[in-house]
Amino acid sequence: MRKIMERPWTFISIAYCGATQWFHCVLCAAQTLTLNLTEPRANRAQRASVALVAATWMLCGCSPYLYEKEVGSFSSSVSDVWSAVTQGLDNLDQDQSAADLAEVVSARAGLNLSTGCGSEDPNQACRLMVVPKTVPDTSAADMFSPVKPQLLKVLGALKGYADGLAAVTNAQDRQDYDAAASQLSSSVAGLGTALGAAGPGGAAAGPALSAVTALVTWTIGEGLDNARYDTLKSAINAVGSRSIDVEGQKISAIQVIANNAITPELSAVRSARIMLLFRQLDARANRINSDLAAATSARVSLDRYDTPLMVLASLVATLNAIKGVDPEAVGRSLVEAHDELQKAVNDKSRQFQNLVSSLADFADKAAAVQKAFAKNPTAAK
Amino acid sequence: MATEKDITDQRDNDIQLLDDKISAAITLKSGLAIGDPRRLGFSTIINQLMNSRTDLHIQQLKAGLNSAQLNAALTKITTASQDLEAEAAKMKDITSFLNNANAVIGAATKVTNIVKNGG
Repeated sequence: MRKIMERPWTFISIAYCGATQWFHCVLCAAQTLTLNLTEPRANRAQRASVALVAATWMLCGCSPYLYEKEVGSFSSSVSDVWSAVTQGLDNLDQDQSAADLAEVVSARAGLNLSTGCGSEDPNQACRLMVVPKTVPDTSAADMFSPVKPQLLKVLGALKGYADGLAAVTNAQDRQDYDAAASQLSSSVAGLGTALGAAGPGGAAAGPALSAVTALVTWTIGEGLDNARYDTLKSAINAVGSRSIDVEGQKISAIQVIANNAITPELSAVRSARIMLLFRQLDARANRINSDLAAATSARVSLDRYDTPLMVLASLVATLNAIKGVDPEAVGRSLVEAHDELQKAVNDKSRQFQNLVSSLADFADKAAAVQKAFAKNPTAAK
Repeated sequence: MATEKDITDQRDNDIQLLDDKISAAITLKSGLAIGDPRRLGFSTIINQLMNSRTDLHIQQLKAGLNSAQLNAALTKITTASQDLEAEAAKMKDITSFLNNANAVIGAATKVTNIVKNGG
C-alpha cells in the first residue's frame, strides 16, 4: 500500500511543489485514485479510501532530496576550498625550510642554527641561517599566526554550513527510515496476528494494525521531509539574502564570507607560497650562475648544472600552478553557486541549467585551487 | 574619513605597486652578467619587496576577519548550520526509535507465540 501511495506523489511533488500546494494535494489524491481503478475491485475501495485520507493529511511539501546531488556538489567544493587553505598553510613550513636551505647552499658560507633547533618549544621552528646571521627572519608561518585561529574558524563555519545542507538532503536517511517503518509495519502485523488469533474474529487484526502503522509512519515521514525542506530553504535564505549592512549597502552573509575571508585567505596564502618558492628558485639560480661564472673550463660538471636545473623545473611547475589560482574568481563562484541554489529552492519551476553550470564552475575552481595549494615541489637536493 | 573600500583600494594599489617593483627588479637583475656581484643585492631587494607584498595581503585578511560584517555573517551561518544539523538528526533519531520498537515488538511476538502454543 505504501508503494502505491508514494509512487505518484513523489512525481507530483517534483512537478508542483511550492506555491501550488493545494493543487498538489488534489492532484495527489486524484492520481492515486486513478491508478487504483486498475486494481481488483475488492482492494480498490479500501486502498482508495486510505489514500484519500492520507492525501487529506498530507503536508503538501517538497522533497529536500531533489537537491541532494546539487547540494553534494556545493558541499564537496567548499571542502576543496577548506582543504586548499589548510594544506597551503601547512606547506608554508616546508616551503620555508626549503627556501632557507637553498639560500645557505647558494651562499656557500658558514651555517648557523636558530635557537629553535635545540628548544623543545613547538612554536620555535628550527631554521638554517647563513653566517653571520644569528636570528632568523620572520617566517611566513609566523606572519600568519595572528590570523590563523580566526581564519580556521571562518573556514570551519563555512564547511559546517555546507555539511549541514548535505545532511538535510541525504536521501539515505529517508531510505533508512522507510526500511525501519516497513519493518515496523510487518512486525506489528505479526504481533497483531499472534494476539488476534487467540480471540474471535481476530484474524484481521494483523493486517488492520499493519495498515494503520503504515499510514502513521508514512505521515510522520512526510512531515519530517517537509520539515527538512523548510529548514533547507530557510537556512539557504538566511545565508543568501542581503541582510548585512556594508557601508550603506546590504549584502548577503555568503558574500561577506567570500569578500572578507575566502578571497583574502586565498590571496594571502598564494602570495606567501609564491614568495617562498621564488626565494628557493632565485637562490638556486644564483648558485648555478655563480658556478658557471667561476668555471675555468667550458664545461661544468653534471652535479653543478644539470642536477640543480632539474630541481628548478619542479619548482617552476609548482610556482606556476599556484600563480594560476584566481582567488577572486573562487570567491565569486562560491557566491554564484549559492545564489543559484537559493533561486532553485525558492522557485521549483525554474530551469536547473544555471544552477548546474554555476556548481560546475565552482567545482572546477575549487578543485584547481585545492590541487595547486596542495602541490609540493620535488624534495630539494 | 576614509571608508573601508578606500582602505581596501589603497591596499590593492600598494600591492600592485609592489608587484610592478618586483617585476622591474627581476628585469634589472636579469640584465646583469651572471658573475656580477650586484645580482645578490637584487635578490635581497626582491625578497624584501615580496615579503612586504605578502604582509599587505595578510593585513587585508586580518582586516576582513576582524570586521563587524564578518562577525554578523558568521552568526548567520553558524545558526543556519545548527538548524540544519538539528533537523537532519530528527529523522535519524526517529529511525533509531523505530528500529528499537521493531526489536521490542519482535520479542513480544515470540513470547506471545510461545504462550499461545503452550510454551
